[in-house]
Amino acid sequence: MNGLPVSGARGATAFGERLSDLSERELLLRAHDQKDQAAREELIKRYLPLVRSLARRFASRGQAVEDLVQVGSIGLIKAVDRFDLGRGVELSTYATPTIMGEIKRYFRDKGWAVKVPRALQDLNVRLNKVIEQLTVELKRSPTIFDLAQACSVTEEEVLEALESGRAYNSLSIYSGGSTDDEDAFELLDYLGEVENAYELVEQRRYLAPAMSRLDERERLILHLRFFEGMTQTQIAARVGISQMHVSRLIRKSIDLMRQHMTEQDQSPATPLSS
Amino acid sequence: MSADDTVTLRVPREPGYRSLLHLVLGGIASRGDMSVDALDDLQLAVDNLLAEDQSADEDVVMSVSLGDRKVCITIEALTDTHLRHNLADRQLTAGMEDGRIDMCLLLDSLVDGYAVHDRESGAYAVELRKQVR
Repeated sequence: MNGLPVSGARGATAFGERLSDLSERELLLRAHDQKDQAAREELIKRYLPLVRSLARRFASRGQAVEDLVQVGSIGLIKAVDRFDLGRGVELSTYATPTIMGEIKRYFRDKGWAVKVPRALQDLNVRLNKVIEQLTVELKRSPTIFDLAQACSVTEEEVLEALESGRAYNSLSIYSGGSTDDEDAFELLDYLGEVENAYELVEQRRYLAPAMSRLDERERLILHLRFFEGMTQTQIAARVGISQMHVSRLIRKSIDLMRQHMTEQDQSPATPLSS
Repeated sequence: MSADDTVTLRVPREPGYRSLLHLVLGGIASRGDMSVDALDDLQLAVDNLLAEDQSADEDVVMSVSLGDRKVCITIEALTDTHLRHNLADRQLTAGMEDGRIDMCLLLDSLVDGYAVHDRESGAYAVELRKQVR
């Protein structure tokens, strides 16, 4: 990890004024318009406590907090460099999701994962098939009770197994891997996407100006679910995949679209509507 | 569980706790003989509401009640004003015809009804209703 470009040594300008006395706005103007490195470093130094605070949120994830501070600092530097004063929001508002995003990317790249117990994996795979069978037999989407009976387990076990399948969703979203691998169960993401996009104003109204980012099948599934009003079971029959897979693809698609919006928002050069 | 019994759960906002909300919803859905399709819709609706409410640091408070073939979920302590306007003023969502998906369209597809309730604290709650068919 490279060190931070924060010397902390340069405290005054050529005119004798102390950088620490300048407002955030003044520092940003200097850093951006005058390419003043000292002002940039002062801003970064000022926001390091925010990085530290965000890094501490992940203290229990098995990585040294200091490493996470270093990683988060990269996000902070990006935020300082990319921040647009015309947005009308605080730098901290803009920097928080950028820092969090950098930390999450670090966990992803490190392959951080929690194994779902094998028994739950097995039950989830079984449920996938049982849901299909029961849907045909009963001519309706089965209930939790139906599934519990068919698998000879409790309803709580069914719910837990279904939930473990959702954890596997997150892996597919953040790893960019395929959801077709039904046997791959690793719970990657308890970190989530919630902290992103604080500053979205106009765009947040819409989850999806980014349908084009999805593949043809994902777009079809979203269309059938949200524009044609079909149920997951009906879509599963139409597309030729399981109901659980439809559920995963819907979640993955919505998350991808939200992620796309967040990325767009973090790039000041991008126009508001895509 | 008798009609109108209510289960209330308070969890931190971190997404890692989302599965607890799912399990509670699943427990209620199971008692109401709700299909897995319908349960997934409810969970997706709650997930998306929380994902869109970016501005709050408060815990998530979810109440779920089951009664008369209907599940009612209330998510409290929401503060995102844009989301509130979006849900409360459906005129703003006229863009859905051009193929965009917004929260109103999502909720319209996932639940049978929803309402926004303002609270004295300045926050608001969103109530979701879904029939058990």
